[in-house]
Amino acid sequence: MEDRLFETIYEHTARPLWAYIARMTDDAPAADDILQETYLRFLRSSSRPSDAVEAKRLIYTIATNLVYDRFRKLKRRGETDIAETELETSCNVESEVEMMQVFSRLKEQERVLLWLAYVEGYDHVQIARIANVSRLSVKVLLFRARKKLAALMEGGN
Amino acid sequence: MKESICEFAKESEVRNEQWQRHAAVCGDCREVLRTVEWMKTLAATTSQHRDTPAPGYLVFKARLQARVSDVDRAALPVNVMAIAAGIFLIVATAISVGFGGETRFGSIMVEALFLLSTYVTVILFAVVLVIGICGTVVYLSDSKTVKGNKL
Repeated sequence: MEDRLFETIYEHTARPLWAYIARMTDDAPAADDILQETYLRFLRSSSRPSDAVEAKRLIYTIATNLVYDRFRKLKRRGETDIAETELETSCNVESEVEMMQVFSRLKEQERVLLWLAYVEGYDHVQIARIANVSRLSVKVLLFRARKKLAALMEGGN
Repeated sequence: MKESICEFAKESEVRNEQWQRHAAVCGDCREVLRTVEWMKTLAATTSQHRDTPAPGYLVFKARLQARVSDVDRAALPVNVMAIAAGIFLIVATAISVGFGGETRFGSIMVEALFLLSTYVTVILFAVVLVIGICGTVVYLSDSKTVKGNKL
């Protein structure tokens, strides 16, 4: 891939991708590592797409897989309760901290689906490809995740 | 599952003005709209000013990793041969020492080692020569793959 094309893709995706990974992991240093590994894998990938939209989708797929790998590793080690890190300290407003606490109460897959749908604006087909779930499951899981988030937003459990 | 009953309750329609008017009177759509707004706020509050590595650094690192993996791949047959030769020597030595004159194979091995020891200079020269040839082949194949590897 041409260096300039990669630079363009990187400039458009790096910061939103970091935010996505950081929200999924709740761990800023881990987000740094995963971000770097994502782009390295993307650059070494033999099936690198040349158009920016497909490239972005591939980058999010790699990042999502790495995020899931991290969840699995943490679960294996028994660290289910992910420590709050400097992500929290970057927030000044109390309501922002509350939002992050609400979001971290969702399951990892729910967080991934909600972010891809409502922040990145991907449709069900694209989410299915990125998160490696079936298209029909995306619809159901997203619906449940939205209901759960709505309940948490209301202050319920 | 209780599926959303409203056909308009689609994430992709959020920016549509007609949909937003509809959402004012539809519970399902209002929930989607609220979730989207909440998620957008959350995304905006997530620290996006964090320094990310320079793209040039990532390209350089990716090329370096590709080069290292190419070298490893090229050296793999030589390493496998070296391990196989080492195992053979250890087994052969163990057999010859353990069963020296007791078995036919052991006695053959002892005889062979004794015979080889008389040609030790020639054998050492041959080993050095083989190592040199293998090294040259690995170096040449490595430089070819690195030249051809453009990320």
